[in-house]
Amino acid sequence: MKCALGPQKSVPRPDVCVERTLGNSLRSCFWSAFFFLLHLLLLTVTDLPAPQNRHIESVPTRAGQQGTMVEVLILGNYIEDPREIIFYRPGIKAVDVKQIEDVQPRINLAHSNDAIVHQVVAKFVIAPDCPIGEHQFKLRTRTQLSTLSTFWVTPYPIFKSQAEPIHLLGQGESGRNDTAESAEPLPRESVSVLSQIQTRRKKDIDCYRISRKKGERISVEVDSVRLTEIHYAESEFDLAVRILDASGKELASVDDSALHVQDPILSILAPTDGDYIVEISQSLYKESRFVHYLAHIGDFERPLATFPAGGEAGKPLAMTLLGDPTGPISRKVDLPKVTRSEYFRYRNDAPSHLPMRVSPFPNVLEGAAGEINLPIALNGVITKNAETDRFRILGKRNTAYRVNVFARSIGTPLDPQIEIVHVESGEVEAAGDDATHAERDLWATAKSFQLPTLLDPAIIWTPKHDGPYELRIKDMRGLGGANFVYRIEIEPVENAVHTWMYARVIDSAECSKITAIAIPQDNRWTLNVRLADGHGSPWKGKIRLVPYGLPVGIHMNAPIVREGQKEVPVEFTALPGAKPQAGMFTIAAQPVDDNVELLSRCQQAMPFLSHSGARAWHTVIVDKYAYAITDPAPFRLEVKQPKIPLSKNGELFVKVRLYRAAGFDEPVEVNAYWVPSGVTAQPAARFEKGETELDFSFQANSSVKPDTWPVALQATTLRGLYFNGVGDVRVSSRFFDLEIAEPYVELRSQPVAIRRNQTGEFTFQVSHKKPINGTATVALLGLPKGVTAGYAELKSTDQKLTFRVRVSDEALLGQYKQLSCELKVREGDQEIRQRSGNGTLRIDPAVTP
Amino acid sequence: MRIGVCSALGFSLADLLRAEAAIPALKEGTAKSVIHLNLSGGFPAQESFDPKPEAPAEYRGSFNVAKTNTGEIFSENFPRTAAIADKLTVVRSCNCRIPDHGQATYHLHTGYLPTTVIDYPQMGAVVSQHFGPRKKLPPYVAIPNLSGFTGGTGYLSSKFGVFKTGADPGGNGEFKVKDFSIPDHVSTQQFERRKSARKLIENRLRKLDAEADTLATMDDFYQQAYTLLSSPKAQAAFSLADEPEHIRELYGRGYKLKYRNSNAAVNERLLLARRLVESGVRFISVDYGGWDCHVDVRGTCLDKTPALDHAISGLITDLDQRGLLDSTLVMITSEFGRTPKINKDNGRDHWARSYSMILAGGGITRGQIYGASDATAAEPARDPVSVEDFLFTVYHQLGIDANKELLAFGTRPIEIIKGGKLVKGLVS
Repeated sequence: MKCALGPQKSVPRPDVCVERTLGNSLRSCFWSAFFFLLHLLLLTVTDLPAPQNRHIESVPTRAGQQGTMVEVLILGNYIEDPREIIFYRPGIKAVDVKQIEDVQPRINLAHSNDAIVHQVVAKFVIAPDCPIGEHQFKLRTRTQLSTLSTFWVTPYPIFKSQAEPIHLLGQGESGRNDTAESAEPLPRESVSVLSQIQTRRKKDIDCYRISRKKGERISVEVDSVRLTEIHYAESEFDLAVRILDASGKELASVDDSALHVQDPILSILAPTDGDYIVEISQSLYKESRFVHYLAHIGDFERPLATFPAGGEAGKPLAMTLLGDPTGPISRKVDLPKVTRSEYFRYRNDAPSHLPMRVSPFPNVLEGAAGEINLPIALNGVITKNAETDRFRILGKRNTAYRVNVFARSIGTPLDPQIEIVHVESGEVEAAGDDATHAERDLWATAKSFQLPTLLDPAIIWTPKHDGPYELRIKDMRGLGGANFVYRIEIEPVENAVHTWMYARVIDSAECSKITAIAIPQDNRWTLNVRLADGHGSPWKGKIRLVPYGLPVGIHMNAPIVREGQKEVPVEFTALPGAKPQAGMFTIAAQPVDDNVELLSRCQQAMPFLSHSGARAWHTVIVDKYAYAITDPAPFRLEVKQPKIPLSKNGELFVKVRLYRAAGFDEPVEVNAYWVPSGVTAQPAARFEKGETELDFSFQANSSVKPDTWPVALQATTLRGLYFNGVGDVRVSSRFFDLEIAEPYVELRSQPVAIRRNQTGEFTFQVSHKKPINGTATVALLGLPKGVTAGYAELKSTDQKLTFRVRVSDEALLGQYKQLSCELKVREGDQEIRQRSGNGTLRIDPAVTP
Repeated sequence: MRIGVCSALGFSLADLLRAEAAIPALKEGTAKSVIHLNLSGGFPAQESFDPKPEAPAEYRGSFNVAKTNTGEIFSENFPRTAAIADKLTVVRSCNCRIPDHGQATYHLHTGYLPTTVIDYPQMGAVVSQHFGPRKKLPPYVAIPNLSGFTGGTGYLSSKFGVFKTGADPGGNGEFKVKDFSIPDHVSTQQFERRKSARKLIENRLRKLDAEADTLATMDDFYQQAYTLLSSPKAQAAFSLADEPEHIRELYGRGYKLKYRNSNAAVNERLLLARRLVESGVRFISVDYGGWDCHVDVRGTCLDKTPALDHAISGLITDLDQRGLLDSTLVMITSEFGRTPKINKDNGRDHWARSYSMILAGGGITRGQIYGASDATAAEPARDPVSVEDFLFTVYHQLGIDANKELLAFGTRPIEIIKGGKLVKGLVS
């Protein structure tokens, strides 16, 4: 056991830490921080990437018990001047949030020139009825809304190990609890051991000793992958559990679990009175990592599934808990009233929930006689290998149903495969095996994020006939077992458009500059909201985005989303005098024209524990967005409304002005994070030190449709991490209208050949699309070295455009393609540029006398 | 003792001396030595030697251009190199096949894409195998190291492998070549004891080993190697201590990289490379990586190009002033280029279909732009040059026919470069 304690050698003493004093906690936090930083330091000198570029790099105190208060240390960068911590769900309140002495020396991070330099301490007051499991939070500082971090809540007391940290061991010494003989004794009651596997020198094994009477449970559940906060890692977080008897004989072992994937769950009955050893170690030895874990060890019930796996909303459900070593357990649960099918977390005395479903329609269990009307939830268990369960359902012709299967989604081992067969004709009308992220309602999750739920089919079935169909379900591998529970929900598809925000940047770290709605007081921030149609949703139309939960100090301005548009910029304004604060809100999509009911949910997905190829082992998915009003920014951005349109195949410059507060002369970068399809913006422009004005250009391709769109520019300081914007202050301009119009002309030409040392004419045929105001200046682009052409002028009456082209003797012989023209037209105080033409010039040898 | 362990690094001093004794001298080409500066990570041509000022803003990027002394244009990031453009050739129509760092780097260094069947030798190893050492210095040196992506000696003997300086002449501490010094923690007495211990073991092996004669010859090589440890000439070749101030300034000094909080070091590396050329080293690999600018290509270039510009112009100028440029081929490469269009993170992503590399000296035509990319640097518009052709041409200048087959695994003949041809327009 390598607990986060001080370096003093101490006498091993079993201890259950229910409450801590601030002093003890801070001392513990200090040593946790010390070893964490040592860990990072070691990482930075190896080839392994360290955690990178987040406000909160580590929360060494990973968990706390319901009904207690825990001092929590938060390590990171750009988290100075902390103000408050906000949680995504109720149950924890953070108080006494304050910065403590900065980390010295600074610890450099991989992938950047930045470092962990700040630490914040807070007291987390955990309510007695706080939901167990993962709690996501963000930290608001004077100028920042941090990237997301997590903290875990357990129902059991936290066990504080007395074993020596591995760093303090001498050469050849084993860790204090590395063997059955040196196992740390645990109390009879269930506890949550919060510790780390440390593997810098050799494989670390943590052993715990418990006493049991014959027939009593020995239950172990380990949270590690889901608990881990390190952004970039490999397989070292995959832990395994063994239970040994007092003689060291293995009674049971487990590596992975259907319920928690890489995190193990194991529960057995003690065969005799006596002591038993719970051993925790890496599944595959991999060096150079601290592996946090929270091991719940006790005598708790540990069922692995419920049957049925859901029920009808607002009604009591009699169910059987499956998988506990004592055998099936009968229970009743009162299901909540809901209007749509959703997940329900069943809680017994185990340290984690069993996922279930609740639906606004009735259940049918396997073996029920007769034909089944829809909508319905079919429930069953594939108990034997090669078993197929069948249900006779009544389809309604031309009605689109969503058939949604839950097996791996609720943690059972079944890999389901379904087909729906028209009874009379025998035709298979629909079939499903695996599903996409969007089909499983994970519209914000990266495609590379592999989840068990993707093994569950979700299909849209539109019966061709009225009448009976047979729905068949089996395990794709032909396996079966007592816990192979499934639930199939069949209901008409619903009109649904969901909102989400893209949260990732390269290497799958959360990208603060595109996700954090941290609006400086009396300023604004614009970000892109994306839309995703619900699975099978047929509805199309214009959408209005409506916020819920924003404080009065923030105004949201969202343009109407056009039919088919999947991303829209949304402007948030923090009003003058708005109180600095942080909180959660949602954005719903509502139809503009139709009087239809539209289901709309929110989602944001932050990858954690990404490994090579940026494929995350754990992604935190939240259903709310976080906002913050921060202290005023020292600058404001304005774009002058252009009076002329952006021409197809053209370029338009808009005037941008930065209003600097007195004394603020830092460089500021300007970007356009959203432009309409077919339009591109120039790369980031920069107000250098003291500058206040610049021109920013937009370009349109030849296929863009004439239209007018609201566009904003964003400005950011450059004091933080350019990579993802951590540490920077951002504001945006107001929306301005970007009009896209037809081009002035289209130009065509024939290939031209000119000899060296000669001057020739290069002529384009002009097809006018709209009148040129006055005279356009035209340049011929793409000329090679040694070839020059003067400018030409073009008026609305001209049918030809001719350049005089001079070829010198240093021009290389050959054919040059992609010659084009750039027109410049002045409209008032603005200039619009348009490109056209695609000419070919051949340079021939000079004529020799 | 490091001289005994440096085989793990590839080429040891004993290997060097053994190789010099064994290989007959072959006829050299115009280029007697090669300095290979590799800009690993994918170097952006648009921000360097093939700017596109007439392209739309999202293609042309953030920089203006600098006129070269030949009337062409480089990016404004390379004003010093633009001023000596008459001494070098930019190949603007390079193209390779795989926009993947590992595979493309191997391709660039060996001429082959990696396979699971045959491991091909690096160009430096082939040069080492062909010509062997000169003036008792390793024929193939890397400053300071070579990435694992570059391959190794492949099917050739490991004795042709690269000798890595390990330490960086541009680093903060004192520059000490790893294998040319007794480690600080080993005293002279310990060193002598280890020599004796090794001798005892070898004497025992000699009695047991069927190839006792081979083993016996090792004594001589080790003895020479030990001598070289204290050789003033060898020490001098690997030291910048006696370089005059005006030469240090010519290459540039004091450049720092903001992103990595480190020294740029390319200036000192190239200066050391020139010294090694003067001392007889045949092939010197220098790496100046970190160009994988998916994010903020502007920032990356502002950070890294000033040192590079200064170092390139300093090296070419210095070699020319010393009369070494005609016999020293400088090649500046990257495994691939960057996408024509700037991405949403203000970076450029991997792009193998068109990019630029530079050749100078060693019989390469001076003051030339060879080939051209199209209007947005997306495809070669004229005279495309493959990696095989590029390497074939360098081999040709060294006097090595890259069509020649080397023997792998004792019996299997494999061309040094398969399918490559001499790019006649590059050589004068």
